[in-house]
Amino acid sequence: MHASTNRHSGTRAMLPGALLAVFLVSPGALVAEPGPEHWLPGDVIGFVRVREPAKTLRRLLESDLRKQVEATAIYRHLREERDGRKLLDAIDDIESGAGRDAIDVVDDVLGRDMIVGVRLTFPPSVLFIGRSRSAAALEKGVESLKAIVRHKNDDKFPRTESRDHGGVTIETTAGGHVSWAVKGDTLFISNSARSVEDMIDLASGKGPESLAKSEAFAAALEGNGNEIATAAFRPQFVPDFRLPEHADNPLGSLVASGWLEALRVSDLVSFRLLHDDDGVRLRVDVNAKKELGKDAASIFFPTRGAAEDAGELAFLESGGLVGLIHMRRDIAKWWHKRDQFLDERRAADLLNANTFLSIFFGGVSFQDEVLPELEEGVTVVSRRLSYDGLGGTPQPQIPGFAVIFRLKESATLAQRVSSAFFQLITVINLNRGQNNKGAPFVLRSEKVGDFEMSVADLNPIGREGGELGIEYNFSPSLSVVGNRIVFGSNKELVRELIDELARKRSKKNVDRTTAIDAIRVRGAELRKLLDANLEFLTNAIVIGEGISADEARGRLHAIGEIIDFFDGLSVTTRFGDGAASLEVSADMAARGTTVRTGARSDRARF
Amino acid sequence: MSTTRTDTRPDGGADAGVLDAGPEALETFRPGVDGAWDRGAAAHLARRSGFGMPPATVDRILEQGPAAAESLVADARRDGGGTQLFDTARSLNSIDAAQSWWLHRMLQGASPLREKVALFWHGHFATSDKKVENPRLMLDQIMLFRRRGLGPFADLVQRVAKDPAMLIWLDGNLNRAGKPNENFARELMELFTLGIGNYSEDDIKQAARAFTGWHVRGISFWFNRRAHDFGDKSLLKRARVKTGEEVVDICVRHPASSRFIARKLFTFFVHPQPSDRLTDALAALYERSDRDVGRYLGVLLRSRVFHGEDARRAIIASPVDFAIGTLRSLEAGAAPGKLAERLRDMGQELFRPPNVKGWDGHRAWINSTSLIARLRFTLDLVEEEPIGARVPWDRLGAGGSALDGIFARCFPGGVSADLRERVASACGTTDARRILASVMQLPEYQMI
Repeated sequence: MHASTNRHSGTRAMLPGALLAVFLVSPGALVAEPGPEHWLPGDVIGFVRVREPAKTLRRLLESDLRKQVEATAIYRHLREERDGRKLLDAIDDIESGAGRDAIDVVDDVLGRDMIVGVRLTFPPSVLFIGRSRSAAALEKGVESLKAIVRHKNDDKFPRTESRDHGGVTIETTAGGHVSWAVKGDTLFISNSARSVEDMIDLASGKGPESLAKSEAFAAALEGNGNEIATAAFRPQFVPDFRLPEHADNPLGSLVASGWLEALRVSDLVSFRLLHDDDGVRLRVDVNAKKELGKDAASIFFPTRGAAEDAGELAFLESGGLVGLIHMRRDIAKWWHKRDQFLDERRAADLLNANTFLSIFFGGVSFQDEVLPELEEGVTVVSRRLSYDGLGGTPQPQIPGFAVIFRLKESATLAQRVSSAFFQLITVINLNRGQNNKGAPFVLRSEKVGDFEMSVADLNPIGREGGELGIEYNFSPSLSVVGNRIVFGSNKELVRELIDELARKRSKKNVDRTTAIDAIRVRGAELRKLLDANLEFLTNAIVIGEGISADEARGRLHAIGEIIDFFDGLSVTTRFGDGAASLEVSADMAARGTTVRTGARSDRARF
Repeated sequence: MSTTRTDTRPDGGADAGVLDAGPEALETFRPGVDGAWDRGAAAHLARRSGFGMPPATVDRILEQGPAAAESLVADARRDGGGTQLFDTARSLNSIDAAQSWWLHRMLQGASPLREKVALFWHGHFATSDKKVENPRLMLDQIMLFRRRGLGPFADLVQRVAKDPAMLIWLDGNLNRAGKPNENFARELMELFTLGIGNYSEDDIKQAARAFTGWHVRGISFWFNRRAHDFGDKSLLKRARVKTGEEVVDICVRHPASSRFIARKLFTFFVHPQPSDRLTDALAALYERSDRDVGRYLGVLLRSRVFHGEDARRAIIASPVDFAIGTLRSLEAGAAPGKLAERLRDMGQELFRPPNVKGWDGHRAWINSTSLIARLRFTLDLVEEEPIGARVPWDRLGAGGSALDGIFARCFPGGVSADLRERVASACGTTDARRILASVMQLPEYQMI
């Protein structure tokens, strides 16, 4: 280790932790000012702009969250990993060369902001602009950079050639691989001398059209001054930017095909790291150069009934919720248009599934007579179970899952769904009986309020003295509540949902923005689940991986630490006013820090 | 008998030949008289009574002398069940979890002999999850072998006859009065107790009647009275036999059973081809041991024939011996889940023997496919990551060269100068990974 490492070890010690915490901390308010995009040529295919990078980094390094991150086992592990050590060594090297703290060098060179762009030349040109707080600070910073280069190069600085361009000196290394120039408080660097000239021209009020004036990037550069970082690229100009034509997984297609279609017609994708009262969010904008096909819009972004769903989601999030997924899709139409979204093999699988499922539904066509009866919204709810009345707790404990379908005409389909449920359980029983799987399911029904619930309970004859295996997490149950079909893995969860759907449907004061997709994950419940299964999971890891119980517990502890950082995770897709958006926020309220990471895709005109 | 031996056979273990000896060969080995009691002898007992030759085990056996065999048996007889890990594997109810649990026991369990004996009975009472399709029942059967495998043979067979996995495997529920299914009765005589040629077709028919109504309900044994044939049966020259228990008792006490079981245990633990004369002596010893497997093995594993030159490295290592033995010898760890896959590739998928006869073993372990699989395991082991291995490379070369360290682990009794030179010239003496890979591919290393 270099002697100077000890002198400047502050950054070395803090930076890795800060990088881990980069999305988890709220920086201070930023001051909006004309950005360096005015000096970057508008013919770039993409750019990244960061405001006050040194200040933001310093805030991260000094935050309480950094200490929390550094206290975790996973951080300690990463720090000892090869890549972690390489990062620390690189910081050591920089500080040794500069003879100063690395953050101070960054502050000198990038005190205000920085922007990096890429031009589609051969080879591609990378353009960099760094703006310092003052010309004097930049000069000091550049000297430090040169010292670092000398340190890495046996105390020699590469031979350079200098020439003047509009009163500014451009220096180029002998090989011509790097050119740079300093103009006042601004540093220009590129692997193309011509690009450095263009940037100098723009900074002098001349030259080509700037990024700031480019129509193509105008949408990405709109902002309210709360952006910490902005990035954008034009997909059609990115070499090898290909989106899969067809999905190889039906569920994957239902989830993502709509977004893939939107990306396919987009001419600009931009990302913004924002800070506002809600914390830090990442927003993604997808601009469309043409309209999304009508099929894709109506299948993947249906809005009818979305407001009603939003009200329902608010109460479904209650209880021991581990997670919730709500999707609005026109599944019947998607099924019909499967060739458009799925590869040949998977589309054929759906055709076969149609035959199979039609048998379960009493001979009616699943595709033509069952699916069209479904409304667009489908919700999957997962909650922890209490196992009341089971006379024990199974190991491992698996949360209950239930799927809620909405029916257009409940009377027509409800009977068929019940019949399919009975047939399904009969087939499972036959299979268990034939293969000596032990206790068969016993079908019965019970009344929950005004509603019937069909339950398939495990036959207690097969149960061995007090021992409850994994299968005792399951008692498949079905109920039709108004125009809702509730099908769950466990009767306890289905009972709860029947009760909630029957009593709380008209809950008020909820956000009725038209949610297309919603995902909620509760960290606290996940943690309880982990704790409840800790010994079981430890043993399972020991058996599977042959490591010691202590080592296995250490791994689970690390997972627990990560879960502890997140009180909740929320993903919401909305559609309205001709735009679709996706927001992701991670709630860390339990640690006194509210952090929201948001991704939003809007402006796509459908 | 020579007193300076190496841990390899001159023929590389290629042909063990027929081992002929009389009752005197079963007397206790006398160190210094019948041969040297050295590290090679201790390692031989470690290999046969368990998997591989962990240095600490070899040291302990060396110190205890040939009598170590009895303490190994005593350790293995202690109850090894009811652990949390077993309960976890059982709860998971998957064959992967079942295989991983047992391999974990083989790798890290306190009594390798307990697992080796269970493995013997797993091959003997070969039951496959491919038909049973119930990993819990398969685990229960292995636990039965672990707990009862070193006790009286009669007790073991009585329990196996009512074991749910066995009843499913041999179609117990189809065995009903008036329409007997002969599967279990046939295998009981042919494969489990008497051996072929020691019973008649009529004996099987009569025995099958006695087992009618021995059914499985849920996942437990159930005596279905309505399906049982309560009439008298006559078999193996015994009249008025009524129950299945009596049939089992008659079979295990039959003289043919003594020869059959005593020989089979000998071929698994000592030498693959005992002569008829030696088999007679083995049967007598087995009967003198009251057909108690532990007592019989206790004598066998300290006998002169066991420690004789002909028995050393005379058995071709099964995939389990090869893989688990190597890991234990090196004091290395590995992910049992990954090991199970490699064992399957090498031809020994636990819980899934190929048929009712179990694995053929010995020469059948080696063929062009399995040799490639052994090579792959070797490469995976030295690369570590593919099987989650953790090899203490530093320790292998401690106090000398890596070559010496690895030979000390793999051939504790020493190797010929020629063999050492062969490996050294191919791999040098310092690259532990190359040396280990080379040693594991030696023909000599395929023998235990």
